[in-house]
Amino acid sequence: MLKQIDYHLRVIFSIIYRFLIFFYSLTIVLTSKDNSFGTVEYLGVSLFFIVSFFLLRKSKFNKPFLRLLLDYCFIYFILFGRPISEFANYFLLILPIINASNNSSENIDNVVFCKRYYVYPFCVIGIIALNKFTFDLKLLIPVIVLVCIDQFLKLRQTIENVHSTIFKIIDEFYTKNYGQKELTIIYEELIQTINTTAYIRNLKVKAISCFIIKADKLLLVNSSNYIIEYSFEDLPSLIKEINTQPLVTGRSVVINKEEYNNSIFTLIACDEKKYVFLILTEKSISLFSKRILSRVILFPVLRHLGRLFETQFRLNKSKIDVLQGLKNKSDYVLKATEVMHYVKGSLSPIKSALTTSKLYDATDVKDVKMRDYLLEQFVSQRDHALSEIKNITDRAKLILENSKNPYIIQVFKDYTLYELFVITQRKWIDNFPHSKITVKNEVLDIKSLTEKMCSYNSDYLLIIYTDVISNIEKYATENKELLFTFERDFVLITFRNEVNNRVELKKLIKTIEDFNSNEKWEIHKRNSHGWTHIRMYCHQMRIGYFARYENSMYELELKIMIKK
Amino acid sequence: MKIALFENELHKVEVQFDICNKVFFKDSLEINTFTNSQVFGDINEISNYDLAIIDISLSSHSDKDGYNLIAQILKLQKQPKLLILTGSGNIQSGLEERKLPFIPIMEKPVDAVDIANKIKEVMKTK
Repeated sequence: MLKQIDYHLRVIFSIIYRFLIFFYSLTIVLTSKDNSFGTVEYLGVSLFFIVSFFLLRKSKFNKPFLRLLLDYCFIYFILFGRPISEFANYFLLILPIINASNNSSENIDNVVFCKRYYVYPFCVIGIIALNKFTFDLKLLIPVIVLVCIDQFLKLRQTIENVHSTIFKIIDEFYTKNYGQKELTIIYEELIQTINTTAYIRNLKVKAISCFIIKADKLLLVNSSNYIIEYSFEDLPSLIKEINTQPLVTGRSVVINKEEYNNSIFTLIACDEKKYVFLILTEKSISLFSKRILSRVILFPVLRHLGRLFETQFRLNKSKIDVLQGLKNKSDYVLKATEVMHYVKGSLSPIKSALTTSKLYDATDVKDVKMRDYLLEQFVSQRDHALSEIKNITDRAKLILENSKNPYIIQVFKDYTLYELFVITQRKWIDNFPHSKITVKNEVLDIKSLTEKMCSYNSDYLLIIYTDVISNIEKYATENKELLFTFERDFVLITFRNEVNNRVELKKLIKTIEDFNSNEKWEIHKRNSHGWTHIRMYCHQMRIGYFARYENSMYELELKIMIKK
Repeated sequence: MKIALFENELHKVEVQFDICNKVFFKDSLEINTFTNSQVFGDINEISNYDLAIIDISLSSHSDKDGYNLIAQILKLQKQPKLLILTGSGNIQSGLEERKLPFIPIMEKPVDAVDIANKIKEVMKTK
């Protein structure tokens, strides 16, 4: 988009520039006395120049070189027979050099500097020819100075291009949620960019790898190529050098059993981690490339990469934490299954004892032998059954113990009232973007909202909200509201909605009664799952809850205490 | 009738089998018990039995679990009838996963009546 805007601007400037040349030339012609041609010739050629320019622009021959040729033909014609040492005349000759950055080619990145190199010969030829084919160094010095300035500009532009290309790729990496495999894309782009960038392309980068310094070792983080094994010559001194010098070059490295001597090591410190980038090149690095490469091109890019790896590392760590949580839950479920398995097995002696007593009763009293046998078995199984009952209750305790139950909220964190408001508001807006949110705050100032704390587990608070919102989605009309009330000691979050005609009012009123009542909840909870979660998690986080139904409006209040 | 009972928690079911034998089969059952697969010895000998009752989760010392024991028996030319004795609830899917045929299941807790009924039911099948 920006490139397109830039291109259109350059097209406009290109047209304005031709008019400037035209008027400038006209001024030179009109203000000087030694005209080589007559007015008609000048006007005719000027008109020809403007018309040719527009025809050229619209034709398939619209090439920068041809436009430049047309410009210089016109300039040579205007300046023919005039003293080139005069500033106004000389300036017209170098005007195309000054304007070169406004080149209106579509692919400016590739052409801008090439275009300048077209310009210099035209300018130099003009200077020598218009000076009656005599070489005058004095007249060429300004052009030489412009060449030098161009070189600086080119270097700056090169650095900017490298940075913008790589930064763009790294930024895309953040937004497109790539994985570890796609990290190689960044390296490939970085290698390609270095290998096509002036000043440093001669290095011919083969591979880039990232290591981390840990316990005096260099551990591989990732690489542009597959690395199975690696070793460094005199590692302690290498690490020492890496820590003290911005760029360490020419150290021997063995990667996948192949030895490389054209190596560049550089350290990028990111928070507490020390990332070491290794760049393998085909050629050894010159002092000039070393300075350009390290200070201005490579360091900012690698620093950006280091930050990306750090973010990835943290994301992976939090992923591991989440997986650990899931594992705990899975272990718990497996344990519960095992216990049930055990319980089923252990119930056998109990069931058998009861069955044996029944068999005893059913056996003919005359069959004394069988009755004696069954009685004997019953007595032995009865004792066995009693010991199994103890085993069963011991196992059940394992499962019922809260501290081992990952579904019981163990972790609470302190959050500011503002954070509570934000998490609640965001959840509400995500689901009901057009519904009302009202905030009542007559007791706390804005500063208190960011200072006063309340305690909860944000994951479980979101589970409560999910259940509440799911009920609202099912049973509410469009008339719904989230009401936030800040009081001195607590925050009241009220979810209010008008109930739709799918709701059986009698059932709702009964459920509300049960939900608010502590006396029979253990009985009712079996039949109302969503409500159970809300109550259970509120209870575990010491969040007050109350539901009511009045004038077709259903309200659920959650009361979160503010910490003193 | 000769029965091979593979069960690691023998103490929880042994009495039921004994009562079952005495009350419902007039002591006609010859029940041999094994807490793990290797105690049985040469698996070809299982052909001498009329019924093999197998618990799926045998003792941790067992070389094979119940599924593998069943798979091995099914490879024999002359096979006894098979009956699974288990406390677990998802044996059927376990059999399907291992591409084993349907085998009758007797779920714990069991008493002498359950055992007798199940043995009779299994022995009736062809």
